[in-house]
Amino acid sequence: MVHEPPRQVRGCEHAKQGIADVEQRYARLLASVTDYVYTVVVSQGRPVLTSHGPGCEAVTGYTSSEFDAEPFLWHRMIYHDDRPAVSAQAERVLKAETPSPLEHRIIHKDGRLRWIRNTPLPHKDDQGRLIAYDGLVSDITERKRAEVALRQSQERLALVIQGSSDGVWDWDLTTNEVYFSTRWKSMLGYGEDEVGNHLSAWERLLHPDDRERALACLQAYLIGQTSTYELEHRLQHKDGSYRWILSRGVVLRDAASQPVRMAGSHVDMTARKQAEEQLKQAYAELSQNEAALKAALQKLQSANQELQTTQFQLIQAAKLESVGTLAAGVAHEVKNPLQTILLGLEYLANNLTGGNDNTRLVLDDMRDAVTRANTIIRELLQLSAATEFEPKATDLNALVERSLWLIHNEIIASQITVVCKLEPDLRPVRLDRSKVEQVFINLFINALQAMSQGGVLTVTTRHCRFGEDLNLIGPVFSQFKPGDPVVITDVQDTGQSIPEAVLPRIFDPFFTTKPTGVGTGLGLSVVKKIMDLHDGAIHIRNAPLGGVVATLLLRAEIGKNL
Amino acid sequence: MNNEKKRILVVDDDASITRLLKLNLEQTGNYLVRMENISTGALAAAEEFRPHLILLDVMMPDLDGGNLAARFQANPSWKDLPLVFLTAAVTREEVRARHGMVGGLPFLAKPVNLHEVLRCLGRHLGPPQTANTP
Repeated sequence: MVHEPPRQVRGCEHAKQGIADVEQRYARLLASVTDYVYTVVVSQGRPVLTSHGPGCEAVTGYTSSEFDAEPFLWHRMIYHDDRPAVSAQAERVLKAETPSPLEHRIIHKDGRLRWIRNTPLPHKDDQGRLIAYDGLVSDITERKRAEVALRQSQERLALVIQGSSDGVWDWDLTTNEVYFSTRWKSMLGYGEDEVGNHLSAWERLLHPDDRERALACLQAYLIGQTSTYELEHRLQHKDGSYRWILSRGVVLRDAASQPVRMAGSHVDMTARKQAEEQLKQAYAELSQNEAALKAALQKLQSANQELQTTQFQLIQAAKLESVGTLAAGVAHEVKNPLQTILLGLEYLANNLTGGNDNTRLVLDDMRDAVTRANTIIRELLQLSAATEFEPKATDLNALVERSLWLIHNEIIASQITVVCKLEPDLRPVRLDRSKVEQVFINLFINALQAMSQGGVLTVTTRHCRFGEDLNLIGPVFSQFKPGDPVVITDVQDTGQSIPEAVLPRIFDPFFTTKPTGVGTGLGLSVVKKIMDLHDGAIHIRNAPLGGVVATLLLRAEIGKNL
Repeated sequence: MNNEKKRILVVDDDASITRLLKLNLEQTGNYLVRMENISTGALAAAEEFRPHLILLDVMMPDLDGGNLAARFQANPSWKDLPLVFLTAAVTREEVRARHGMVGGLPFLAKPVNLHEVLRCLGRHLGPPQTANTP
């Protein structure tokens, strides 16, 4: 049979358990205690008994019993630098004053320094005499440490702010209050009191062109769109000008990721911005200059090429000129020996006895040779001879024929066919024969050089009154009035056409389409000059069916016979 | 015999030319030629030789043909004497264009052939009387 313990015993067990529970709770409570109360009984203004409450062990390390056993233990515990303050507070209490709480240090039983807050509460009797006072002792070590740390941190911050040349701002997003450092304000020329501590103060200073962008940048950062905040913007200086400011900052968020606080720095980058601008301009100028330089270089290169060609042509002309000058002197020196040879040949011819045909042939050949040499010299002289303009009434047809005859060797060599259509009874023209001869020879030679074998050179002459021939129009014939009697010569070849782009330049001195060294480019310019001398005209154009035709217009003599 | 033949004084610093002119002209039988290669001596030569015509070059050292001609013309005894320039300083074309006269004086352009010289002499002195003509 199981016997239940008797009720009495059970009740006893319950009680024990209950006590154990309470003791546990108490121990826990005690362990979390940071405060305790001590009581001082006062008699006639003097402390007579002090008891420290149970919490004293947690705060000081000593138990109540230890305090009871040693009345001066409390005193001993006080950090010696703070003793005067503690004593002073105690004195005041004993005088029945209610002093303010005192924070001081004690040395814990474990040897470490602790901060406590001692708050005395006097008890008085009916007559107002102090009979006792309680003291609430709170361990404020942690708080104190935090305070110190905070103060250090604040000091450091102040130092940093002071030492930095950047402006500092600190924005409380919940109130929109903003702390602007002194430097922040002075950067913009404002004194300490001239900028309000509100976000609107900053907004007001924004440059109108930057306003939208700045606010958008800020917003984007705050809502988390961007991960960093860096804003270049303009703020208005007190003097009215705008400064470029680089603003950087960091946001502090709460548990719900809402921004609650943001702080950052301001750097005046006006100088940098100006430098950037100048650099940009300089680069722009540089690339402009580079482009201009390149263009100039190209021009230089083509000018150089032109120069080289012109130089060659000039040399040729100079050679010609010096040849001409030389020619006069040389001619004389050569002609005398030629004279000797000629006269000598005459004598030999006249004194030949015997009938050796070969001898005669030899003498004839030698005479021909002298004649040819003389012709060359004559032509050389013609190059330099500045003969006057001597116009005489001339039959142009005869001049055409003579000119053709003068170059008949070249014509034969070129195997070109020459077709002459010369108007009979052509009106006479007042002209300088040798010069117009030169014109024809030039045109004929040009035609021959433009044609390959099997080409045809056609020379036509006719006369009419200017205006009758509708083909003869254009500024080149501007010196002729309708009704003027004119003689027209056409020199046409079947060679290459002249490129349209080249046509306007063909009369330019030194202009030639022949390879360098072949033509001097003087031919047509001389021709034009001679035609101008005669108050005539020359027009060169591409013939419709191929080849080139040069048309010469000369004034005919009216009613004169040759 | 000297009276039949016309006397020609040839003045040219080129001796081969004067020599050949003399040979060619004298060979015709109609002329007698005296050569003078130093132009400064031409006047004296003319005094001695008494030519009917003087053929002279232009480009000569010391005294050129033009100045020599002027001296002859300045002298009353010579002012009617025909002077003909034979020179390389002009071209045949120029001579032709100017009808054989340049600056008022007759010219022949070197190198001239004998035929031209004879024609010129004939023009100034009359047709030659050959030794064979009676």
